[in-house]
Amino acid sequence: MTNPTSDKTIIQLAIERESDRRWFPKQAMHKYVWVCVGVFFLFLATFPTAYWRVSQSEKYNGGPFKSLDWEDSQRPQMTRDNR
Amino acid sequence: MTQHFPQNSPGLPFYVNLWNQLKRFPGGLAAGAEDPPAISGPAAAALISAAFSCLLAMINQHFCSIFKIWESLVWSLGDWIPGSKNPDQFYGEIGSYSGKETVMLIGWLVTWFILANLWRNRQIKFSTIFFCLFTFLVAATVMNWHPLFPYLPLMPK
Repeated sequence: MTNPTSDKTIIQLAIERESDRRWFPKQAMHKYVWVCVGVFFLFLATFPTAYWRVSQSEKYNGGPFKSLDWEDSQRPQMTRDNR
Repeated sequence: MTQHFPQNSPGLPFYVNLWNQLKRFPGGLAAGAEDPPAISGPAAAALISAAFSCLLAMINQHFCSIFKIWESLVWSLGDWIPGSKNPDQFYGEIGSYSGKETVMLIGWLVTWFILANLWRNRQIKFSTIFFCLFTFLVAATVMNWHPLFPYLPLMPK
Protein backbone atom coordinates (compact mmCIF):
# COMPACT_ATOMS: atom_id res chain seq x y z
CA MET A 1 0.00 0.00 0.00
CA THR A 2 2.28 2.77 -1.23
CA ASN A 3 1.71 6.27 -2.42
CA PRO A 4 2.24 6.49 -6.19
CA THR A 5 4.23 9.73 -5.87
CA SER A 6 6.58 8.52 -3.14
CA ASP A 7 7.69 5.47 -1.28
CA LYS A 8 5.93 6.47 1.91
CA THR A 9 3.06 4.36 3.06
CA ILE A 10 -0.27 5.89 3.93
CA ILE A 11 0.40 5.13 7.59
CA GLN A 12 3.71 6.98 7.46
CA LEU A 13 2.02 9.96 5.88
CA ALA A 14 -0.68 9.90 8.54
CA ILE A 15 1.93 9.81 11.32
CA GLU A 16 3.80 12.72 9.77
CA ARG A 17 0.61 14.72 9.41
CA GLU A 18 -0.28 14.06 13.02
CA SER A 19 3.15 15.07 14.26
CA ASP A 20 2.99 18.24 12.13
CA ARG A 21 -0.31 19.11 13.70
CA ARG A 22 1.01 18.72 17.23
CA TRP A 23 4.34 20.39 16.60
CA PHE A 24 4.57 23.79 18.26
CA PRO A 25 8.13 24.90 19.03
CA LYS A 26 9.00 26.26 22.44
CA GLN A 27 10.65 29.22 20.77
CA ALA A 28 7.31 30.24 19.29
CA MET A 29 5.84 30.48 22.79
CA HIS A 30 8.48 32.94 23.98
CA LYS A 31 6.89 35.90 22.23
CA TYR A 32 3.58 35.14 23.92
CA VAL A 33 5.28 34.97 27.30
CA TRP A 34 6.99 38.30 26.64
CA VAL A 35 3.70 39.89 25.66
CA CYS A 36 2.17 38.67 28.93
CA VAL A 37 5.13 40.03 30.90
CA GLY A 38 4.86 43.31 29.00
CA VAL A 39 1.15 43.66 29.74
CA PHE A 40 1.79 42.89 33.40
CA PHE A 41 4.44 45.63 33.65
CA LEU A 42 2.21 47.99 31.68
CA PHE A 43 -0.49 47.54 34.31
CA LEU A 44 2.09 47.91 37.06
CA ALA A 45 3.55 51.08 35.54
CA THR A 46 0.13 52.69 35.10
CA PHE A 47 -1.14 51.73 38.54
CA PRO A 48 -0.21 55.17 39.99
CA THR A 49 -2.46 56.69 37.33
CA ALA A 50 -5.31 54.51 38.52
CA TYR A 51 -4.60 55.54 42.11
CA TRP A 52 -4.55 59.21 41.12
CA ARG A 53 -7.74 59.00 39.05
CA VAL A 54 -9.65 57.34 41.86
CA SER A 55 -8.37 59.88 44.40
CA GLN A 56 -9.56 62.71 42.10
CA SER A 57 -13.05 61.25 41.90
CA GLU A 58 -15.58 62.90 44.19
CA LYS A 59 -17.30 59.60 44.61
CA TYR A 60 -14.42 58.31 46.67
CA ASN A 61 -14.02 61.39 48.91
CA GLY A 62 -10.52 62.12 47.70
CA GLY A 63 -9.12 58.79 48.85
CA PRO A 64 -7.88 55.91 46.76
CA PHE A 65 -10.82 53.85 47.95
CA LYS A 66 -13.95 54.41 50.00
CA SER A 67 -14.96 52.61 53.14
CA LEU A 68 -18.31 53.03 54.83
CA ASP A 69 -18.14 54.04 58.45
CA TRP A 70 -21.02 53.63 60.90
CA GLU A 71 -22.64 56.96 60.05
CA ASP A 72 -22.44 56.36 56.32
CA SER A 73 -24.14 53.00 56.61
CA GLN A 74 -26.97 54.56 58.63
CA ARG A 75 -27.78 57.27 56.12
CA PRO A 76 -31.42 57.33 54.97
CA GLN A 77 -30.73 56.16 51.39
CA MET A 78 -29.06 53.02 52.68
CA THR A 79 -32.27 51.55 54.08
CA ARG A 80 -35.40 50.69 52.16
CA ASP A 81 -37.77 52.17 54.76
CA ASN A 82 -36.43 55.69 54.26
CA ARG A 83 -35.94 55.79 50.56
CA MET B 1 -8.37 7.57 17.78
CA THR B 2 -8.52 7.05 21.51
CA GLN B 3 -5.71 8.28 23.72
CA HIS B 4 -4.24 5.81 26.17
CA PHE B 5 -2.88 7.23 29.38
CA PRO B 6 -0.17 5.38 31.28
CA GLN B 7 -1.26 2.99 33.97
CA ASN B 8 -0.10 3.11 37.57
CA SER B 9 3.33 1.73 38.23
CA PRO B 10 4.73 0.85 41.67
CA GLY B 11 8.12 2.25 40.69
CA LEU B 12 6.78 5.77 40.10
CA PRO B 13 6.33 8.46 42.77
CA PHE B 14 2.84 8.65 44.27
CA TYR B 15 2.14 12.06 42.72
CA VAL B 16 2.84 10.71 39.24
CA ASN B 17 0.39 7.84 39.85
CA LEU B 18 -2.12 10.31 41.28
CA TRP B 19 -1.80 12.52 38.24
CA ASN B 20 -2.18 9.53 35.93
CA GLN B 21 -5.36 8.60 37.76
CA LEU B 22 -6.69 12.15 37.46
CA LYS B 23 -5.98 12.11 33.74
CA ARG B 24 -8.24 9.08 33.38
CA PHE B 25 -11.10 10.73 35.27
CA PRO B 26 -13.87 10.79 34.29
CA GLY B 27 -13.55 7.60 32.30
CA GLY B 28 -15.83 8.69 29.49
CA LEU B 29 -13.73 11.74 28.72
CA ALA B 30 -10.44 9.90 29.10
CA ALA B 31 -11.52 7.22 26.61
CA GLY B 32 -12.36 9.86 24.03
CA ALA B 33 -14.92 9.75 21.27
CA GLU B 34 -15.30 6.66 19.13
CA ASP B 35 -15.49 8.78 16.03
CA PRO B 36 -13.51 11.98 16.75
CA PRO B 37 -13.55 14.83 14.24
CA ALA B 38 -10.76 14.68 11.68
CA ILE B 39 -10.59 18.44 11.15
CA SER B 40 -10.21 21.29 13.61
CA GLY B 41 -12.27 23.92 11.77
CA PRO B 42 -15.54 23.64 13.73
CA ALA B 43 -13.72 23.60 17.08
CA ALA B 44 -11.59 26.56 16.02
CA ALA B 45 -14.73 28.46 15.03
CA ALA B 46 -16.31 27.85 18.45
CA LEU B 47 -13.17 28.92 20.34
CA ILE B 48 -12.21 31.93 18.26
CA SER B 49 -15.76 33.31 18.06
CA ALA B 50 -15.99 33.34 21.87
CA ALA B 51 -12.68 35.18 22.21
CA PHE B 52 -13.62 37.58 19.44
CA SER B 53 -16.88 38.44 21.18
CA CYS B 54 -14.84 39.48 24.25
CA LEU B 55 -12.84 41.88 22.09
CA LEU B 56 -16.01 43.11 20.42
CA ALA B 57 -17.56 43.79 23.83
CA MET B 58 -14.59 45.94 24.82
CA ILE B 59 -14.55 47.84 21.52
CA ASN B 60 -18.24 48.51 22.02
CA GLN B 61 -17.53 49.60 25.59
CA HIS B 62 -15.06 52.20 24.33
CA PHE B 63 -17.52 53.45 21.73
CA CYS B 64 -20.17 53.75 24.44
CA SER B 65 -17.81 55.76 26.64
CA ILE B 66 -16.94 58.17 23.83
CA PHE B 67 -20.33 58.54 22.12
CA LYS B 68 -23.33 58.89 24.44
CA ILE B 69 -25.73 58.52 21.49
CA TRP B 70 -24.21 55.16 20.75
CA GLU B 71 -24.58 54.16 24.40
CA SER B 72 -28.31 54.99 24.42
CA LEU B 73 -28.71 53.03 21.20
CA VAL B 74 -26.92 50.05 22.73
CA TRP B 75 -28.98 50.37 25.90
CA SER B 76 -32.18 50.14 23.87
CA LEU B 77 -30.90 46.81 22.53
CA GLY B 78 -30.79 45.51 26.11
CA ASP B 79 -34.39 46.40 26.92
CA TRP B 80 -35.36 42.74 26.69
CA ILE B 81 -33.42 41.96 29.87
CA PRO B 82 -35.58 42.43 32.99
CA GLY B 83 -34.19 45.26 35.12
CA SER B 84 -32.47 46.97 32.23
CA LYS B 85 -34.38 50.12 33.15
CA ASN B 86 -35.91 50.57 36.58
CA PRO B 87 -36.93 53.87 38.18
CA ASP B 88 -36.84 52.31 41.67
CA GLN B 89 -33.68 53.72 43.23
CA PHE B 90 -33.55 51.06 45.90
CA TYR B 91 -33.24 48.17 43.50
CA GLY B 92 -31.57 50.22 40.80
CA GLU B 93 -31.17 49.17 37.20
CA ILE B 94 -28.68 47.27 35.09
CA GLY B 95 -28.20 50.25 32.81
CA SER B 96 -26.52 50.21 29.42
CA TYR B 97 -24.56 47.14 30.53
CA SER B 98 -27.61 45.11 29.49
CA GLY B 99 -27.23 46.37 25.92
CA LYS B 100 -23.47 45.79 25.95
CA GLU B 101 -24.00 42.19 26.95
CA THR B 102 -26.60 41.87 24.20
CA VAL B 103 -24.11 43.18 21.63
CA MET B 104 -21.57 40.65 22.90
CA LEU B 105 -24.11 37.83 22.70
CA ILE B 106 -25.16 38.71 19.16
CA GLY B 107 -21.54 39.22 18.10
CA TRP B 108 -20.57 35.83 19.50
CA LEU B 109 -23.39 33.94 17.79
CA VAL B 110 -23.00 35.72 14.45
CA THR B 111 -19.21 35.23 14.44
CA TRP B 112 -19.60 31.59 15.38
CA PHE B 113 -22.12 31.05 12.59
CA ILE B 114 -19.90 32.73 9.99
CA LEU B 115 -16.68 31.00 11.04
CA ALA B 116 -18.35 27.61 11.39
CA ASN B 117 -19.59 27.88 7.82
CA LEU B 118 -16.27 29.14 6.50
CA TRP B 119 -14.20 26.50 8.29
CA ARG B 120 -16.61 23.58 8.05
CA ASN B 121 -14.19 21.44 6.07
CA ARG B 122 -10.92 23.14 6.84
CA GLN B 123 -7.99 22.22 9.02
CA ILE B 124 -7.06 25.24 11.15
CA LYS B 125 -3.52 25.17 12.49
CA PHE B 126 -3.07 25.13 16.25
CA SER B 127 -0.77 28.16 16.05
CA THR B 128 -3.52 30.14 14.29
CA ILE B 129 -6.08 29.22 16.94
CA PHE B 130 -3.66 30.05 19.75
CA PHE B 131 -2.66 33.38 18.16
CA CYS B 132 -6.29 34.44 17.76
CA LEU B 133 -7.30 33.41 21.27
CA PHE B 134 -4.27 35.08 22.83
CA THR B 135 -4.54 38.29 20.83
CA PHE B 136 -8.26 38.77 21.35
CA LEU B 137 -8.24 37.99 25.05
CA VAL B 138 -5.13 40.06 25.86
CA ALA B 139 -6.44 42.99 23.81
CA ALA B 140 -9.81 42.80 25.60
CA THR B 141 -8.06 42.73 28.98
CA VAL B 142 -5.82 45.69 28.18
CA MET B 143 -8.80 47.67 26.86
CA ASN B 144 -10.47 47.17 30.23
CA TRP B 145 -7.70 49.00 32.13
CA HIS B 146 -8.89 52.60 32.53
CA PRO B 147 -5.52 54.32 33.19
CA LEU B 148 -4.53 53.61 29.59
CA PHE B 149 -7.73 55.21 28.28
CA PRO B 150 -8.52 58.49 30.07
CA TYR B 151 -12.02 58.68 28.60
CA LEU B 152 -13.08 55.42 30.27
CA PRO B 153 -15.15 55.96 33.42
CA LEU B 154 -13.95 54.57 36.72
CA MET B 155 -17.21 52.72 37.24
CA PRO B 156 -18.87 51.88 33.92
CA LYS B 157 -22.58 51.36 34.29
